Amino acid sequence: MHGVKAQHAADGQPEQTVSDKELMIRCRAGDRLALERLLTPYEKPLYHLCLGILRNAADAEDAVQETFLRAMRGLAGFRGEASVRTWLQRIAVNVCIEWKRSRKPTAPMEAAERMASTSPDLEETTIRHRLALDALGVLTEAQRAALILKDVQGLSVEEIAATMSWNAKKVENELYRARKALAVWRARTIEAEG
Amino acid sequence: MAETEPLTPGEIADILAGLEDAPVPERMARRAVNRWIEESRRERPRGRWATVLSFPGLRPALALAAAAALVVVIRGRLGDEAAPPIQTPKAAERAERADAPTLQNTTAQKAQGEKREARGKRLEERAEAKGAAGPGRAATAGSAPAPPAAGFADRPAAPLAERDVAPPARKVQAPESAPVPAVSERMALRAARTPEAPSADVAYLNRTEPLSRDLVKDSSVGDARLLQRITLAEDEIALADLAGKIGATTGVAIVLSEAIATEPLAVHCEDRPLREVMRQMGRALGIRWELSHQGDAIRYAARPIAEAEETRASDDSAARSAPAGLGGGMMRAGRAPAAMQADSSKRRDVETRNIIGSPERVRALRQGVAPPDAVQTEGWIIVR
Repeated sequence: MHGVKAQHAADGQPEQTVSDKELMIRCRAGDRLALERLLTPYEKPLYHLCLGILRNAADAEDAVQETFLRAMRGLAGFRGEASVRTWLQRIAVNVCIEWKRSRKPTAPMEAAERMASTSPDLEETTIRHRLALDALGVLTEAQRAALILKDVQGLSVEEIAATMSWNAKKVENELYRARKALAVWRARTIEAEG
Repeated sequence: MAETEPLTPGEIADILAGLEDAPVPERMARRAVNRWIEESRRERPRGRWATVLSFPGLRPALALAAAAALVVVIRGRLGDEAAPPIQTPKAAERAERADAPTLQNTTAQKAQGEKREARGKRLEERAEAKGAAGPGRAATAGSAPAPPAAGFADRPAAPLAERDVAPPARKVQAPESAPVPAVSERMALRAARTPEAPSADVAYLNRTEPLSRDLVKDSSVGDARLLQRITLAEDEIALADLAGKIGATTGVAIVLSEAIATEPLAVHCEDRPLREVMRQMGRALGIRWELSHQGDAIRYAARPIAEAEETRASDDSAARSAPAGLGGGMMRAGRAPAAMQADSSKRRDVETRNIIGSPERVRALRQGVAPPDAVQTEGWIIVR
């Protein structure tokens, strides 16, 4: 169970660590502040996960919003068998896969354009970001999700299996195919650059 | 082309590191929470059942089911509590006529009328004798003081001023006798003796089981309350007092006209159905029982047969066609007491348990002097 550092800046109280379990209890009681405290730490990893699957910044932001909404609607049904992180990641992957199937693909360059105005090292950052999105473009949505969860966010095979509702063998197979596909992509990219 | 080796996790992490360079939008969690709160305000919280019941296709079915359940509940209550009063008036009247078939005999009615007149004269004489000493006895049941007996003698006989002698207002002024045990108590004892096969009337009186529908619908009974069995031992009692006593015991309201309210009567019977007792009363006193509805309650009004005949033209024609003398159906069915005296003493003991008629003659019969005009019918001895 992950802990969340909640700072009561407004109240002037000292920083204290509140567990997800305690926050869940308060959230079920209708505590709005507890909801924000519970969800805020997962904004960034969820956004990167959704961005990796959807390859579009605006869609990723909407997907994170939808993930949070679904989580709050299903708060009463969360039994605590999995961690809050796994629970939210599972929702996010489902949202992204649903959207990918139902929506027209959006140009991935939007994110790079938005990033250009904020990043100090514009050229290098833009190239890295574009490279990552291009690499993910050769994978399926499920492979993207598994790969990001494993190699970017550092989840174990078992955690990925729980998140994706797969068994461990399937996770390993999908990761192998994804890595092999990326190897092919890199080889082609190198060949194309000459 | 040589097969490409999969990338290592480190190489993939380097490639995908570009994802984390993307700026993360701010306050996504707060915005999501605000949206969720707005949604919650728009949608009123509803329970699972409310959601199911709000399905439009279910509404007509639910309305029908509720109506059917209401009908079942109402029928069930009526069946348990108000079964006797819901009988139609015509059916009740037919049942009442079936109870007193011999009262249609107009020849007997004429004879009864003559005897009643003679009895009225005797009562007048007795009242005059008592009037000299003090106020007379109450003519009928009721809280109002009874008029002097002399005034009663002057009163016209025809008008029927019904007085409800329902149990609460009754004050029995008959001579003290052994208290009659409550019918329900005796029925309970009977039921205890034969618990494996309690009769329908026992079940009804004790309210241990719901009243049988067959019993209520029995056209020969009409009112199931008339099946209650009563025991009477009255040497001399005014008809009004007797009606009050019956009402107090059985709950059957009896209404009497003033013309017969003070009629003295002797009744001895043991464990007889009320309808049989009422029928014999009619024979002994020359009265006809009529149904009188007061709201949902059924009352039984006793009218002198002569008085009732005035309102029933059909009965007049029947009276003209009836044979003369005392040879009516009822009288033909009876036996002279002389023949009765020839029977064994055991049989006489059994038969003389049920006697009804004039107090003096009943007293004489019980002392062994058989009046010449006494008749025996249906296990009763009637002496007028």
